[in-house]
Amino acid sequence: MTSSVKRPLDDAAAEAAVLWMVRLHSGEMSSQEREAFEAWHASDSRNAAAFGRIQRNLGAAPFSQWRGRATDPLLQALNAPNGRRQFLRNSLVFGGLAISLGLFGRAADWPWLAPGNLQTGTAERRRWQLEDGSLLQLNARSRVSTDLVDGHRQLQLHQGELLLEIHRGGVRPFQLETQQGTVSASGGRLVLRQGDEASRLTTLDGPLLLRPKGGAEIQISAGQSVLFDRYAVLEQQPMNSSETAWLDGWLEARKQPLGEVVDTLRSYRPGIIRLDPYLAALPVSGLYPLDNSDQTLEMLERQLPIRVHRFSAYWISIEQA
Amino acid sequence: MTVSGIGNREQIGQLFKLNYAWLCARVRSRLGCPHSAEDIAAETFARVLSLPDPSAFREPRALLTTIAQRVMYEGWRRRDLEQAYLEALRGVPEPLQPGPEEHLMLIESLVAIDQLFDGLPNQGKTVFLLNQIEGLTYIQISDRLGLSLGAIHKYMAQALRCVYQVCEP
Repeated sequence: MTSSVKRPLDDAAAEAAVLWMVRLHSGEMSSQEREAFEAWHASDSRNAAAFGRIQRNLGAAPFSQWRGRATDPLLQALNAPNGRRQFLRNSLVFGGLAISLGLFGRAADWPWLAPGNLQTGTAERRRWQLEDGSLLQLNARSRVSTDLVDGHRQLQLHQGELLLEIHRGGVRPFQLETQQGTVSASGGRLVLRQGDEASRLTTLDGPLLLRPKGGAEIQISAGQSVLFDRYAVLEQQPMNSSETAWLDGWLEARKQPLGEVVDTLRSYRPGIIRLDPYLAALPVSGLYPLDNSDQTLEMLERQLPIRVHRFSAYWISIEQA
Repeated sequence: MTVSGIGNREQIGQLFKLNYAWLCARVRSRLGCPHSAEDIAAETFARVLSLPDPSAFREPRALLTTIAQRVMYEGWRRRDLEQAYLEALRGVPEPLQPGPEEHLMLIESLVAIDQLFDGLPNQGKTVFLLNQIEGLTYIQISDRLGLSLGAIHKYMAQALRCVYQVCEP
């Protein structure tokens, strides 16, 4: 029997390993935290052993069968009442069944997705048809909220990257907002990415209007790739196919800095990928499978003067060869 | 660990001979169904065999009763889980429903996940599995479930303690 999970584990290294594992799975880990983790892991063999044990047990746990399926039925089943207690209380044959059946009705009202909130997880791409007929596709670890009530056509990109195919014929133009500005168009396709301090807009059709939050509205024609911040356009150039390659599951790099490539990979695997800062500017060119990040890392290792150290499935460090 | 020595094996045989019919009758009286009673008795003996030194128990019938009870509870829980899963699948469009073989595999893993997280609150299971299976970040989970990030860290830690405590093979 396990002791109460609400109390810290008696073994200090094991408890620390648990808390590090919690942070590794957050999907948001700063470089300082990454360094602190490495220091902890290297400081004592008991730390590495405890961490390894959790990692192996996680690897052996039967979660993989459920990936790519709707999780609601799994969660509803797991959260079903335990008939065991009923069984203990009376030995009426199958007495517990009717009782648990009575509770099934409640399973339906889970506080699932708030309306208009769409998101993807690590290594997940998904498509939706919106109420106005537009088609939305989200890259991994992306999140949008939409307002499509009463003829409004608004969408806010909070995180990640999207492709929107805007349905023509709406009363009002479709408005897409990032932290830096607003894009509006009455039809056509566009790709929008929320970066750390700037947004990138790629216009597959056009023209459309872009208004940085603190700047003037400008018109962008079709086939452009535009980087903008809150005040102005920082960079504009003809788009290339690499910007939409993710839609088909590829990461296409054309002299792209390794730092950006690694950033993309981070959305496609749990845990951390540490990159030696000296390598971040290394130019990368090639076509890499997004859904197989292990293969992508192997390809990069063969191609560039780098060594990929795999301390665990959750911790990969890219260093100079 | 395995049972070692021929003496041990003989003792197990003896244990089986003396107690199998008794155990079946006892389980049947509790359950009312002769077929499942034999299944449960057989599973109980299989588990006794896998104990480090089953012959060391001085009250074999007490041991058998305890294990048989556990087997029954597990069977019961399994049925609950399967029923609840089938019920939950009703809302899923038919083309997305798993086929019979897949279904069996999913129920097996459902039972294993349920045992792994024995003692973990339902919210904790939900948080952990949204992270592990859907790959949601903590911020996304907090948006979806309306929980604070602190609560999500707490539940993740509880779930990972369960994972740590699994005995390694």
